[in-house]
Amino acid sequence: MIETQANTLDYWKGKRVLITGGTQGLGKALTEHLHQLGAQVVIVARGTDALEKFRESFPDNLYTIQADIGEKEAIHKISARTIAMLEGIDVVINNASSLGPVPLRTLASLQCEEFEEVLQVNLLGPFRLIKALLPYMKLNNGGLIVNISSDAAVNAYPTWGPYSVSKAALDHLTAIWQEELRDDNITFLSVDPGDMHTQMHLDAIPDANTDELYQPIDVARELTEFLSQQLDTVRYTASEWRERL
Amino acid sequence: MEGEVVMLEIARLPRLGRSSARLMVMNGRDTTHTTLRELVEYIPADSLLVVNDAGTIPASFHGYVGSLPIELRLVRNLDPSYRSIDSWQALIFYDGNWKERTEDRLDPDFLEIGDLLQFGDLMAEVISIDHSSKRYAKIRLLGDTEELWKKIYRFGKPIQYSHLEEELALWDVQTIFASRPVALEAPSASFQLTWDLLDELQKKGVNLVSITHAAGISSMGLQDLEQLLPLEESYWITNSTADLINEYHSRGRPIIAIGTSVTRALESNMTEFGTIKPGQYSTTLIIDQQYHRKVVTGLFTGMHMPEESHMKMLTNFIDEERLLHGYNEAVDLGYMWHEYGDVNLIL
Repeated sequence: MIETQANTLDYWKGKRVLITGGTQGLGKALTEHLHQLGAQVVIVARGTDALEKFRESFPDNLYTIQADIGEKEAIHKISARTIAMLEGIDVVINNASSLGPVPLRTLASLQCEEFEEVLQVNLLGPFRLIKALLPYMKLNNGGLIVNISSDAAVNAYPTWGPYSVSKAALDHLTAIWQEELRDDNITFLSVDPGDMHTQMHLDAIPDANTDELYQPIDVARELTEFLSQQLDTVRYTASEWRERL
Repeated sequence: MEGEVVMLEIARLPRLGRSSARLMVMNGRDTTHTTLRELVEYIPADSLLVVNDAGTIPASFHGYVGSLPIELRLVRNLDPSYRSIDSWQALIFYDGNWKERTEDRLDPDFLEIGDLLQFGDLMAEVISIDHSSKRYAKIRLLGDTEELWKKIYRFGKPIQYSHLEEELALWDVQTIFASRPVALEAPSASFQLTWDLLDELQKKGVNLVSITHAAGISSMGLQDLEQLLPLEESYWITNSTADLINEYHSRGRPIIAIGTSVTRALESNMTEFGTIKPGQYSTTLIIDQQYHRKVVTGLFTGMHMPEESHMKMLTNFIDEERLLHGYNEAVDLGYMWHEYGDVNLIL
């Protein structure tokens, strides 16, 4: 365990990391933990107040960008400012997600525009962001791209339509990027963190038994350890990646 | 430059990655007209391609001095390392919009040292004004580096080209290599390249490395100021890039620059150090017909206007008569000129 911890520290120290949705839930926990491990982190989020708070709590090695990952206009601003501040990029964690309207609705009750909005945030946003950061990685020894997935990407749960479809597509996007960029030393991963005690989960399932949910900070600790390993598969379920610890 | 190049077709839409773009290859004694997707046929397998990975900053800002409307264009970072981004050589125009040619823009006659310029939340102070023209000034943006990056990207737009039909968005001025944002106008030679084309080249055996060159602006709009171009520009060369270029150079293998900015940086570095030396440097080198080229053996570039300084660089790679002959053929074949136009490979 101590040895693993040393490897994890070694891996993350000085790493230049971009995390979307970095002020809530898993994103917040990952940001705090990676900062603690010595990474330089840029977080992207929509809410100005939460970003300000982060900035005050972590004056060094943490930068904030207020942007909506679902907006096409935001992408080059995010990628350029990230590379300018960190003088490069090593790891991208596409963590920001939208459930669509809550309480969740069946597809029959969903407006087409609401579906589109979810795809913008959960699928096209990550695609555009990867595309904008790819040149640096292709020209400078590769990198790691982690797309946060869900078991809803595989299982068809009623009322989870847009989220579920977007995550299934994100998984496939991850797999195709990996196939296409195998020779560029860029590792693409799609990771299901498991059901966590977050606001998003409560929005989706208000009566969930919170005792059965993972705590984001525990997931962040384990996930950073997992990501510091040599990995050979593109998609990991909640149990598969934990087995590797 | 003398010549009979007339009736040039201008690329008026900012379209990138057109593998159907026309390609004029000047190789040995032949000039061949083909399309970009055939590029792989013409680049020797033992070549090294050197690209510019500079991202392009939105360097144009519309705002006010008091109640008077102005446009500010960032021209050169006075900190060549780009660690700080507050002090700039700049162009300031009175009013105007992107459809007006830079040449037709008016000086801000009212401008004084100490004036505060305001672009939304982005503030700047005028530090000095050139004695020959009020449009050429040194300014200081107010704020720390992180705040300034944020405001530059919030309030800035790419420097526009009046010959286009559409206003340029930020993504229109990023090449497929765009990484660190240091260029003020895009290094446009690679606008039509695609990663698929480069993958094909790499499969053939061609190697690819990048430098970062803070490409500056192409026009100041006044004859007196135009003579200052190209201004001093920063460039960065990594250890691995330097090693590979030196290896290819010592073996006498082709080293092909993608763009004039790469050519200037590499030639300047080789002239200064006698080898390609990694690090951050600046260049003021002008390459014309007489210049003795030391490291770059081939050039991939756009179609340049006859009066541009870039044309002088081309005559260093190829006999002027042949160049003009090729250009005239290109005119007849309907090539498109300027940043988003067709391309030229000289080996």
